[in-house]
Amino acid sequence: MLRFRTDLPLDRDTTARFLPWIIGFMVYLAMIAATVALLVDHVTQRWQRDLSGQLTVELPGIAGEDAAQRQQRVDAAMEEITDTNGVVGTRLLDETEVKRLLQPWLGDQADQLGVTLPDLVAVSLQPGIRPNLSELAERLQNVSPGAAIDDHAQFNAGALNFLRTIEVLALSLLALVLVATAGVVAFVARAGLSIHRRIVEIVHLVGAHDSYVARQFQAQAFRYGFMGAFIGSLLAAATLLSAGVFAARGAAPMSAAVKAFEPWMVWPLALIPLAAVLIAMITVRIAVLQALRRMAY
Amino acid sequence: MVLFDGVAVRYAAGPEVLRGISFTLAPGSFHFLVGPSGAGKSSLLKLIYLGLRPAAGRVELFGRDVSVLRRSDYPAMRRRIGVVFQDFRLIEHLSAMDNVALPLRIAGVRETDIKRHVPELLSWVGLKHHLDALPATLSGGQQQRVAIARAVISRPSLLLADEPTGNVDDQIGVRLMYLFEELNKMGTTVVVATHNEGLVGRFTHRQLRITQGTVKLVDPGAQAGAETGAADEHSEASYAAEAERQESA
Repeated sequence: MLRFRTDLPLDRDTTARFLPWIIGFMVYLAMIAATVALLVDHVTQRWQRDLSGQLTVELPGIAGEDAAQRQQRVDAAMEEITDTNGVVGTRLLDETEVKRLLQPWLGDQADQLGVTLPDLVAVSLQPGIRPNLSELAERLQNVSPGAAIDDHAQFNAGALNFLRTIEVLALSLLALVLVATAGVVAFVARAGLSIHRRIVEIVHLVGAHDSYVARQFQAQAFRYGFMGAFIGSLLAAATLLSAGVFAARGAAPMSAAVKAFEPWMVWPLALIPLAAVLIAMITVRIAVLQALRRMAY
Repeated sequence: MVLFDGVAVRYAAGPEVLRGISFTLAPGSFHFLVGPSGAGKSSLLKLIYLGLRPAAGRVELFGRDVSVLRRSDYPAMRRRIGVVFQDFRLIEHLSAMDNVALPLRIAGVRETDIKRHVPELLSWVGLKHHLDALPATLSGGQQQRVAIARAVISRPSLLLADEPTGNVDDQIGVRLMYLFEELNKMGTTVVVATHNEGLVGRFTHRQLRITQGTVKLVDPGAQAGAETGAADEHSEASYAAEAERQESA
């Protein structure tokens, strides 16, 4: 496969024999790292968009208040919220939903604790319009003392920070893998040059430019890079498909992220094997030309 | 074509192998480079084919001072020089055909031309039936002929042969010399390094004799010798004048 006529018997080098597998492994790691970075970025953006479009208003119960008074207070608060610029919808969460939300803190027997559960209002915001929350909070205090607005900013910031860290780590791994690939390829090229020094001298003495010799190594780098890229892409595709299947069954960790995979993501991922081949060829050219300049012939 | 002026050769920090070498090779001339083994014949040839830099003095090749040549200038100069190495320096994994085709491929000659010219030349040197043979399967003499074919395939302006008849019998040796003479008649400047005095004696070409690190010009045709170099500037001048005469002719 992909055989070129070369004056140097580069295929016989034991150091180069494992190059396709090494490049394949590097391409695999790079594709997985890039997939993680893409998914995390995508999920983060979507989450950011979703959360920035929502508020939760908590209306604590007032001691001694009967059901009618409570309903009147909640209605007044809902009216204040609805009248706020940028609010497109409000929904009062029913008791079951509130209990479910508080279940991690109060357990299943919240009724028996004698605690008055607050009323929670989920507020939907118009995209791109940020309501004046301090002004809303003031108005709510007048109709429902102790009302609190949660725009998820604190949780949002922490979670986004965590996701961005994962994304940066994945991108760093991707860069590291590409640099390591270049290093391995350069090492193999220099070893090949050293092994075939005698032949390189001969081709120089019969009139070859350094670039002629470099092209022979580039041809090998292209061939091995292509084989490695094929192997790595195949393994990465198999891994991602398996993750997709497990995620569909809800079994894989980060299944939400895996499910977020979209068809357009194939294109940036497809650039990685191509980049690996290009990096291998360019690295080889630079390494060989540098080494040749140090040779006497 | 080639000018040496006070040239010295030294390997690393060792003593000078050659010193005060001055001579001129006129275009179209034929010289034997004679001397015992280890006298420095190969070193002198290396200086000419840009395989070695002089420790002192000036070397001019095709009218250019080699000390000011850049690395990127070397290939163009080397393509005008054909070299037959003493150890052949064939590429082991390439066939006789591919070894001979190497200078042409490097020069970017079309494959159709290569496939026409290379077998023709290999037939001429008696290797018609060994086109696809690897060097390891050929005898010493056959390898030498492949090396000679590689050196002459691109019709060089200057042909350097280092002990080209060392591995062949006298009959083939003489035939190879006739090949070099044919090339010489077509305008190629030829330098044949040898320690085979018997072979040298059969021809009347000028001789550059290396003794004790210096070069002495001997012209059997004129029955006169002249030592070249700083020690004998008169002889050098005479030879240079002769070289100029040949060049203008």
